Amino acid sequence: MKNRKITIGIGAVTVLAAVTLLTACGSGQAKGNASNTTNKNFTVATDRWADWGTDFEKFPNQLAKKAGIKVNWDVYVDANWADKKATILSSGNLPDVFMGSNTFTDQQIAQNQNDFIDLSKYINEKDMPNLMKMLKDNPEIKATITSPDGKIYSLPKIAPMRPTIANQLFINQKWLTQLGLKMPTTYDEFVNVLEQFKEKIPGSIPYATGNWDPVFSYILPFNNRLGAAGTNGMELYDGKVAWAYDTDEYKAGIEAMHEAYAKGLIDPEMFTETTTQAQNKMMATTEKVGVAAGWTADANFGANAKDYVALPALKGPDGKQYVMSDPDHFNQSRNEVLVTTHAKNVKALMKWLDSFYTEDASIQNYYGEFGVGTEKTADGYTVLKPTGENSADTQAWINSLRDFGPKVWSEADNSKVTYQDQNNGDALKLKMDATLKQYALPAFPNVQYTNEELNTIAQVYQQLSAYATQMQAQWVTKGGVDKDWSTYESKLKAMGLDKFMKIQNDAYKRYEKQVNK
Amino acid sequence: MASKAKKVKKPTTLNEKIFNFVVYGLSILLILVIIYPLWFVIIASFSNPADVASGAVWFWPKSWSLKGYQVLFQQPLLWRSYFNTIFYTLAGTAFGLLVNIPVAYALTRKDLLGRKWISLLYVIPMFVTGGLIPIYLVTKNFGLLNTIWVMIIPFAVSPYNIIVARTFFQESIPEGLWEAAQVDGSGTIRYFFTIVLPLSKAILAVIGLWTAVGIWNSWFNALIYLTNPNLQPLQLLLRQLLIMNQTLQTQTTGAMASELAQTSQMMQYASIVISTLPIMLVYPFLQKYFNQGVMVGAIKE
Repeated sequence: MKNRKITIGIGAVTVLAAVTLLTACGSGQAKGNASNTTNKNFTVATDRWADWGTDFEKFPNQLAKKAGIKVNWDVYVDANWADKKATILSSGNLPDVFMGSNTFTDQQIAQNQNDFIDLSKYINEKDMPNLMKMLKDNPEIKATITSPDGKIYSLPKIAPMRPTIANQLFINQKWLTQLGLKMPTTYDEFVNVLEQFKEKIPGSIPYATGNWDPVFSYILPFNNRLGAAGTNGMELYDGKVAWAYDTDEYKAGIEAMHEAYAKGLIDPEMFTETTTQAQNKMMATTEKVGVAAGWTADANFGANAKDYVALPALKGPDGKQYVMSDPDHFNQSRNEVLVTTHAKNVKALMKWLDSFYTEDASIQNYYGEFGVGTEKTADGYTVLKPTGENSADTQAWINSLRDFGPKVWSEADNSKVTYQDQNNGDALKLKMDATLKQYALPAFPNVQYTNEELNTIAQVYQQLSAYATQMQAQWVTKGGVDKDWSTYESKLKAMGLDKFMKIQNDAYKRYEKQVNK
Repeated sequence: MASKAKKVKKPTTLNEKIFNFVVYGLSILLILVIIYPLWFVIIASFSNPADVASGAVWFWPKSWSLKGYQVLFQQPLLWRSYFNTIFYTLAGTAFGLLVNIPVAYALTRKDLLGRKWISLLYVIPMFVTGGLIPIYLVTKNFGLLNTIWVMIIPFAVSPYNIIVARTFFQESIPEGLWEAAQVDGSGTIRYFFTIVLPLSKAILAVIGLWTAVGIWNSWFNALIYLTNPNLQPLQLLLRQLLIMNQTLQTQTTGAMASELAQTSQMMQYASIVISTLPIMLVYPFLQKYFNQGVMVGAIKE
């Protein structure tokens, strides 16, 4: 038996040796590519909301061909992106470019700053004429992308054909007609209409959760203009920076909302239900909802959309009309392109990226290339009708980078674009926007923070917002905002509200300075 | 055979009757508790999503709707990923058995040089693993990233399965059998294939099923190591559809958020049904191996 033992032993050792060898080969192979300036192949990673296929790559690839480079896409679906991102970053297996402002937040960029390169030295008249023109025409964009130390880590966008106003309220026109009611124009009339809905329509929910913050949508007539998501609840009143959850306007609004709640006008499940439940109320076969906030009626109410119309901007107690608007955040952004340290021959890459900043390229990157999503006409562009079962929105997402990626546009160019389908998606929103945008007031701009500031915000804000929203739910449902207000304010202070506000004020001052430079 | 003959004894005393009543009652309750969620998922998948969310559906489907399935089957990658999952499961199980079973058997052989040390080498990674990033880098350096092999090769060796199989071989295949085979002129390989394996169908079935179910349900490896959507397994695709609307409300503005949320909500229950059904159907066919248990009386010493 002895020699058999040895044979098996030798076998095991051979296998081990083979495995070790293989490992060695593998790692050697990975490091072959030294730095060079003739590289023409680039990997671009991007994050999409859903799997819409690869058609969106076609137009950017055309641009790449013109710029003399080749682009390989790593497309991640949003559901997987967070996990993937962590692995990509920690393993150092970086692509050359991350495209889309949904790939990284400011905080994440700050945390991984060593992975991204400063682009400012590549941005000059000779190499990037289109981008230079954009920055000259829009000084606020330059302020948006320049970090406090003067470096530029990302490229910006201004999206075409975007409305000034954001989400807003929609009201059940069928019920109004049925009950013989006039469209409300003031807050008091609005409450009256809700009361009528409550009394005369059995089983109705006069005011329900829509696809946007239901509390701030309700208290808007008290001049509570909450900015877009991601702005940490910042507001701007006559050039003064304020936190939306700590103003007299907010207090007055919450008090009024509690009165309405006590009368049974607000959905009692507002603070406990899931998104799905709220959505199903809006789309129920027997219509249940009187008023809810969202982007367009068809997005909120599905098959019931024909019964809902946009509520005009209500006159608040101060006699003024307000709308939610935040074009700086919705329509313009930084972080649309991030170049990593992995990229070789960045100059060639930037030539490609610069070609995104033309009108022709922007419209095609937003609705789809000529002949597919758009068409060039004698005096501008036409956005084509969606094909098959797609909505206008899905159609655009399938064929273009849509909301993400570099783009440029000026408001004046909006008149050049026509829509084949007038009652869908962007066309519908822009129609609504035309009547409401006169009430839009400036919102807190897209400021840049230092890394230190970002860290402090990350530490402080979580607590502040958790406490504020918790109190908000309590005040709306049980009342007592007046009684609790001073305790509330002192508790916010203890949680670091002063520190937070100082950062916001500093950042805003820096931004103003950069814009006026 | 003895177990079949045993009859349930009729309860005689009141005490026994109460005992039986309680035991049966509790068992039935337990079964219901386990079955109801499954039943709910099935009826919910055939009902109008609005009724499901409002709590109107609880025992019988309300307002029949096949919309969930319809939308699901329209997913361009559904069939592709279904096929991928089946392929990964079959290939992965076969490969898993191929690498684990011989190792397990080898470790039972007293004439294996350094048997204890080799066993230890297999056991250590059960408790101490390298962590995601080093494993990712190794996988990448082997060139396995974004290939079908990453779903089959790197995670095939399972120390747990090896230990279970080793114990089985030790307990149920007497050493005398090997000596007897040797006397009859058999070598190790012949002995392994013609005697050990046929006697070990039960453990092959058990390990095979564990591996198959594990691969069928896994999505994390695919999430980390695969980027090409054409290679992704079903579970990964379904996960994407399911969690699509979780963060959307805050991230998107505009029509897209609600459009995506609607799709995902309609498909939730339907996708659970189509992904669980096939693997559940496998169980009954393997049931007999579980019952067969360990072999008895293969040799008289």
